[in-house]
Amino acid sequence: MHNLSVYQWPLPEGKNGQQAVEILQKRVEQLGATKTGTFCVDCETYQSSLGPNAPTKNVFLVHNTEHPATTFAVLESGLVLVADSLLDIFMLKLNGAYNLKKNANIESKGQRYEQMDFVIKIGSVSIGPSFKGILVEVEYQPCDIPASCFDLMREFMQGFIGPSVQLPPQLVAAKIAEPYTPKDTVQQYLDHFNSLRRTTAAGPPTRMQ
Amino acid sequence: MSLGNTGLLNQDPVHDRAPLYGQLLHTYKWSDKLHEYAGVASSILSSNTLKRSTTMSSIATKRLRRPGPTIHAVPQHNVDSLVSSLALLFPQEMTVQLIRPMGSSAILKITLGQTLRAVVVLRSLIIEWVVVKAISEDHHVDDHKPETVWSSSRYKVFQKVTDHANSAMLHFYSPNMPELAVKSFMTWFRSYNTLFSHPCQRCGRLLSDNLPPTWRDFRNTTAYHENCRQ
Repeated sequence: MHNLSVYQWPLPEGKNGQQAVEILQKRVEQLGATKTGTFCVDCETYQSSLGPNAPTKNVFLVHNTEHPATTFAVLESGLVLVADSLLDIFMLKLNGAYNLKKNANIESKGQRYEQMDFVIKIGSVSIGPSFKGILVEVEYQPCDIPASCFDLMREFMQGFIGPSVQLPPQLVAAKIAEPYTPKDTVQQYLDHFNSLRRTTAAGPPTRMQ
Repeated sequence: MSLGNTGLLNQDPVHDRAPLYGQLLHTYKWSDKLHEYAGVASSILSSNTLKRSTTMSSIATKRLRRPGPTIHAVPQHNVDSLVSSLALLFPQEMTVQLIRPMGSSAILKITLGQTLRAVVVLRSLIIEWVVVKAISEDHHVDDHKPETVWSSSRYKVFQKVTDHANSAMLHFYSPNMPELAVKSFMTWFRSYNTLFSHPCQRCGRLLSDNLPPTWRDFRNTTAYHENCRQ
């Protein structure tokens, strides 16, 4: 797997989500990146209902279009189960023990770009119809070890995100000398989703793309 | 333009049917250029001190001519001992594994830290082929999948490093001192351990054309971008 960082991009003042995404897309295209389709990372939340007195626990099911045949199930403790996509059907069978939380589906959806060995994904995050924020994902494919190539990625990202990118994301920084895995990507997205859920919509509610 | 008497050819009334004079001029220019390039190449090559082949100048040396280099037919155990000494050169950073999937030719699988992997094909003690790939790419070389030796990496950065490794292979090539050539190549190649983290010596940046400094100097292994090395 390759080294990857996800950042939240704050909306510029006076712009709504759609306009902000367009600004970012324009910058990336001016750098010479080519469009290579769309991507989507979505997250469903299942809540345990083991009894009236038992504490409720969440299981997050994350799908990523980079791994179309895989479902990632993440516990609140951070434990990740990487499974076949049949896990979705299995979770429906567990109805009663784990119930799908209504109106909690959150997804990051948008354009995927490639430039040499870099992959850039600009996603707008939304829960149902309401827009929550923008997530920018940058991946450097040839290198697995964040410690070796983060300086290089920072130089690349500063080209279109700006000088605000200085440090690797917290999760990457914690395991900077270890090889990066797809599980780390899922956890980065989940962390962002959880913090974006808590925030109110940053701009007027507009459904992106 | 007229070339002496050959200018008369131009007067030939059947010029349209046999454009001899045009072809003659073309040939003349071509041979003139060849002469000029050969002159430049000769002055560059004569300044290179490391001779790749021995030239016998006098008749006396001709009589005492040594048998030509036979490094293409070195016994296997010599290759084995060279490879085992290579593995000890940089035990921390480089691991070297020797396999012989296709007869007696040795293939070296080199892993450089956590940065890259390379496949080096040896013909006795001469390096014949180098391919550099990412750690995550397939390197399983055997009889059933020989294409992994010949296919190039899917990443631009390693395609570039492969090109540079091939030029280094030619640079270090020395039939009279084959072991030294292989060792020099390995010492040079080790400098790619810091491929993603070492900034360019000239511009001080990590990225140029969205690639890290892929060139390493042959003498002192300092890192340069391909465009910065002049």
